[in-house]
Amino acid sequence: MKKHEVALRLQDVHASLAGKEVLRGIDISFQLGRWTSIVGPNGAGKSTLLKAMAGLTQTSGNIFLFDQELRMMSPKQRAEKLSWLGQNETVSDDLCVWDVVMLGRIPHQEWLAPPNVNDHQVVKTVLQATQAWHLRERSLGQLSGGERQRVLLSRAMAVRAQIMLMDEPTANLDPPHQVDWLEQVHCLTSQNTTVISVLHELGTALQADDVVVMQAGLVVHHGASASEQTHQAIEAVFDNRISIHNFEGQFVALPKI
Amino acid sequence: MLKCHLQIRLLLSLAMGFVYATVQAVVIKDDRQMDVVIAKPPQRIVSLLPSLTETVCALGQCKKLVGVDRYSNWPESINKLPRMGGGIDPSIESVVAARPDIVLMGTSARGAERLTALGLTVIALEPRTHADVQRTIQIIGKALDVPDKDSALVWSDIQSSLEASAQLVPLASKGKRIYFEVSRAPYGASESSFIGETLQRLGVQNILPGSLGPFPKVNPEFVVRAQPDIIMVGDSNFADMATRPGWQNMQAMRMQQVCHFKKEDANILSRPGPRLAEAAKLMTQCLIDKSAPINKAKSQP
Amino acid sequence: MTSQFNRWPPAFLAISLLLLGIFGIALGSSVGSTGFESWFAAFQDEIAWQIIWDIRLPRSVGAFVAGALLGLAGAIAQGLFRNPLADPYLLGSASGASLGVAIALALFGGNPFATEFLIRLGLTGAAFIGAVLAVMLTIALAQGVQHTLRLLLAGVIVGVVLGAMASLISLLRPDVLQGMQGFLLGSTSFIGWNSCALMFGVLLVCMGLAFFLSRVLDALSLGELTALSLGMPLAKARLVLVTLLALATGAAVAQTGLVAFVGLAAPHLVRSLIKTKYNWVILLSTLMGGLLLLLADLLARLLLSPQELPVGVLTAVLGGGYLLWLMYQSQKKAAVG
Repeated sequence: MKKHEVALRLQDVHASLAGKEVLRGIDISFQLGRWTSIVGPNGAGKSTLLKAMAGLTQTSGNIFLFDQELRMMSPKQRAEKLSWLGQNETVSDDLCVWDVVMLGRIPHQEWLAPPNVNDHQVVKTVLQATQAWHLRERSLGQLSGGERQRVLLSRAMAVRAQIMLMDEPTANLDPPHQVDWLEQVHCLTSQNTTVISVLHELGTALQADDVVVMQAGLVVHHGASASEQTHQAIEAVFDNRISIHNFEGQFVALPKI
Repeated sequence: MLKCHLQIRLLLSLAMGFVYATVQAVVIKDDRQMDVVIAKPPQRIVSLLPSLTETVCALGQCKKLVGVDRYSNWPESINKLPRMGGGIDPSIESVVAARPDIVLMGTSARGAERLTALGLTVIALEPRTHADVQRTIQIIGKALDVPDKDSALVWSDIQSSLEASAQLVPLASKGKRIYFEVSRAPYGASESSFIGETLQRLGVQNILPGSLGPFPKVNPEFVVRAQPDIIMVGDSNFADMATRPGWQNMQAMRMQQVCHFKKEDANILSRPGPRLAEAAKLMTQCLIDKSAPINKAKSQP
Repeated sequence: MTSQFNRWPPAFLAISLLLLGIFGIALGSSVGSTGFESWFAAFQDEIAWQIIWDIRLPRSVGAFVAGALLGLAGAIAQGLFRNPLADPYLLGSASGASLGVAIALALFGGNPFATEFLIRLGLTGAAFIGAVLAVMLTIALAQGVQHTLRLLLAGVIVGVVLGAMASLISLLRPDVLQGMQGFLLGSTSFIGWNSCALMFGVLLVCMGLAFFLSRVLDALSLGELTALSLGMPLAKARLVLVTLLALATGAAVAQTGLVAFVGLAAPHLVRSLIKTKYNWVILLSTLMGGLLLLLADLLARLLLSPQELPVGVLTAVLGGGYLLWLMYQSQKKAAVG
């Protein structure tokens, strides 16, 4: 796979939730190996867009995963190529951390097969990457919010999918672990994994390669995170109540009081 | 002077009226241990328990019944009467609408306080043994102003009929061991139940001792182990008795020493009331039927 | 390598439960109408031997297998609905079975033709058919098995309505009411070898399929959408699992009547001892459920011998008592740390 190839492409995608149209015609494509963050006000349809790309909601229009229609793929094929991490999914407390992360290997395992050596290695690697290896024998119910989120992140990473879709991946994470996550994403993109994340925290979002700005079910801007047009689009969509500033090579969003 | 005379007369008639009224009034102690005052002989009776309905009719007061529960079905004449719910769920409204002078119901029935609060006279009786039946006949007789000797006659008739049945039981059947099944869990009738008492009068034994309570839920293997000589059971429970594990090997089952009673007869057997003697007749007939020598029974088709 | 913090590895627990079950069955063949008596007495007495072989052994084995079916159904229900309060009777199967029995009892001894057919079918057959039809009605009402909340709601409605119909029949026919009493509180009184074989067959099939789908239940514990994103065939799997639930519950209820708490308590008891994935949870809940019902049955026969207590009362006391104790323990732990 060469860079500049399109990993994911949406063509005139519409989606409705409980009778109300949430995505009103999305045309967008995501390049291979880049990290894109999706920002926008509440109700813009960011989570729904992510679910649509993961094939988890009914949509009209076309979605292409590496030039293959998503609809035509079998669930297993899709699960091997796409990893999705939701926001606020209720997870039962009964499994231990190691088992939870191992569940991420399901798309690559034969139906009744036990985990093989490679699976064990992957689980160990991803747990170490989120500093959660020492928690591997505790049950989820015994963890704090941040620890839990790191475990769920590990689970998503264990899939080793070429495309990672993450909804509010840094929720509940304290700053050191947020930085860990940033480093992980850079590591993933350097291995040609395409990362798409919904982030409400603008400072983190502006660390991405590209930004998609959404409002009221439409994409109003899609461009590099460093470009001035992107910053203006973000400010506009938040009613110009924030301004984006360059600080030592990184961008921050500050309130306009 | 005339005024004085009149006053004395008034006073006297009032006094006599009072005495007359109190003489007429009857006080009954019912099974709730409550005293029930009955001012004058009831003319309209509602009965909410089949055995009490039958008792009223046995005392010759059937025509005074104005309403019965849905389970009462004897004698035929009461089937035309309006139904007022069951023991567990009496229809308070229908009972009140019938304007009864007295309501007879079981102690385990609901609604006694409600009916009393609505101003009705309620007597709660629930006969469970032979002695209870005698007492119930007495109490209801007193409440309905039936002469004592008439109520006593009802009971002595029952007694002599029981005696007569006992005489008819063949000698070979005396002392035989009976298992009487009441319901399919299985619940059996032990010595201390009214059914057990009747069986005792007929001179046969019960495999279930009285210490288990009147209607114990027994372990089916207890019955198999006890090897009763004769089994008495209702038709519907008998239908699949042979499929019970271990039961087809019981001697009573193999030798067909099982009396199964039709549903109408089952009603007679299960009510502790004036038809005790009828029940005894049914059981006696069963004993006579099964008294044919064993090898004869085997050769029957 | 999973869960080394558990006190025992799952295999060890499974073997212990199985051995306890076998011991319990042996005990059960010694417990009966004369209280406790050993096998040695039986060897001298023809009748006693028959009683052990024809009555006590099948009852004890039957209690274990029925409890196993309920434990399995409980584990499936709790995994499928992701609710620790789920029990096998959720989809109306209990009320359906009651209605089946009520109708059968009402027709029994009436029309001779109907009676003949009913004897062949047996009350157990009527109960099973009632349970399965009730679940089908629930699924129809919920328009499929995909929406968990709708399914649960439909199950409650079906349960209440069918239960009311059964009560109505009992009210109008006091002889039916008597017959229902034994069924409603549970009893192993008339379980024979045929019943055991039938239940065991259903148990093997249901356990096998549930084991096959245990991966789906594990993925579901992460959330419905996550499970879908992992490629799980949720629609098909749910349909099969609901069917297994209906079959297992129906088969157990048909033989023993409505036994409370076993399906609810068995998976919880397992989880209190060990935290592991659904393939083990299914096996262990099955064994734990069997043990629970077997123990309750032994006590039901022993305590007031030769009278019998309804086994449902004892399962509630045993299962409920242990759960209360567990709750108390976890509250203490929470209060301390």
